[in-house]
Amino acid sequence: MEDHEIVRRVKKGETELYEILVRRYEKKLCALGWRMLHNRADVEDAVQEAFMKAYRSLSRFRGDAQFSTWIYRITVNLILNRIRKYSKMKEIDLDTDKIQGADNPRASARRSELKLATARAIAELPPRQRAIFHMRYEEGRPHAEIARVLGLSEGAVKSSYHHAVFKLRESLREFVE
Amino acid sequence: MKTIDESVKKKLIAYLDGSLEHRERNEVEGLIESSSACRRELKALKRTLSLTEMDRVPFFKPVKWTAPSLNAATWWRWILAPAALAAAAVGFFLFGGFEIFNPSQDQPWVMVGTDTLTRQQGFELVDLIISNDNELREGFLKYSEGHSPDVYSELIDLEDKEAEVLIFLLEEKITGIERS
Repeated sequence: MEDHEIVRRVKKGETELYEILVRRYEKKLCALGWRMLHNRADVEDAVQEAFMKAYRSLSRFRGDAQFSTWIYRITVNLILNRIRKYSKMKEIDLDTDKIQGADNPRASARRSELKLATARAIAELPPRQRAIFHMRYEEGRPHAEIARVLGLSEGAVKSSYHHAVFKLRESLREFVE
Repeated sequence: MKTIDESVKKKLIAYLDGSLEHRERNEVEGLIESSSACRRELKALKRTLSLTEMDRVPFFKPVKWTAPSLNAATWWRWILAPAALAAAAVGFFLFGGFEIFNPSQDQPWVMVGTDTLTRQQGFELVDLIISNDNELREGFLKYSEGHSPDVYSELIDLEDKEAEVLIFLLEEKITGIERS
């Protein structure tokens, strides 16, 4: 069943169908949230809240945009608000527990170092750039769609993505040359 | 080791992104073919991108979802409407009174939460706020003809009082149009 059909039926009272949309998008939104927040608890809270906000606002959703664009946009805005509120988040809350190697031979230590450096390099990008990088590089979304999610022009999205890669390249210089 | 300047680096990034026009792509391919420094940089960029894949997304528990009643979510708005309009009037004057009706398009217009919106963004929000009120909506559409309202989630981020302030602003604007 297409998203718009589910939305239409939920609005007419078949509220249990909304769970199909939750299951359809939760992994993608968690991945986006992870890239932006890098903190499991915050990501879970934000995604849960996004689904609830979208659900409670379905009556305002007229279907001019796709549901996927809408739910992405809600999630990104919620996360940006969280980041604004906890502006020191990226240094303090960066979840690194999964990055440490289980044992400690030299290769594993090097790998852990690389993973940590990568996570930090991404965390140093401005939040919106993190979202753009994720949607473009990891999800392969078209620039135009990302622009709709973020309320930016297509040119701004392209430029921001290029800046993001440029900064990552500089941050990871010692590992890639 | 010969280095390459930033403008070439940016072109290489755009090349990898697939966002170059045909002519520019040919130009970059020419650079890659003729310059070992460009080839090294391209390789480093590819390695940078592949490194980011090491930071894998962990497993997340499925979202716990039980659908609340949709009707229960909105009834209170009607009861609170008079109080909210009064709050909107106070908010209007706090935001700077009638001066905000004459801003230039790109200038900051009104504060919503921690964001400063331009006039266009403000009206887009108002459009969404009134999407359930046909009379208000028609008035607004007359004003914002040709405008594409695609900012649903912005509305959702508004506190109720902030939303009401925008409704108030819109009503004033529509009244102004009718007068003119």
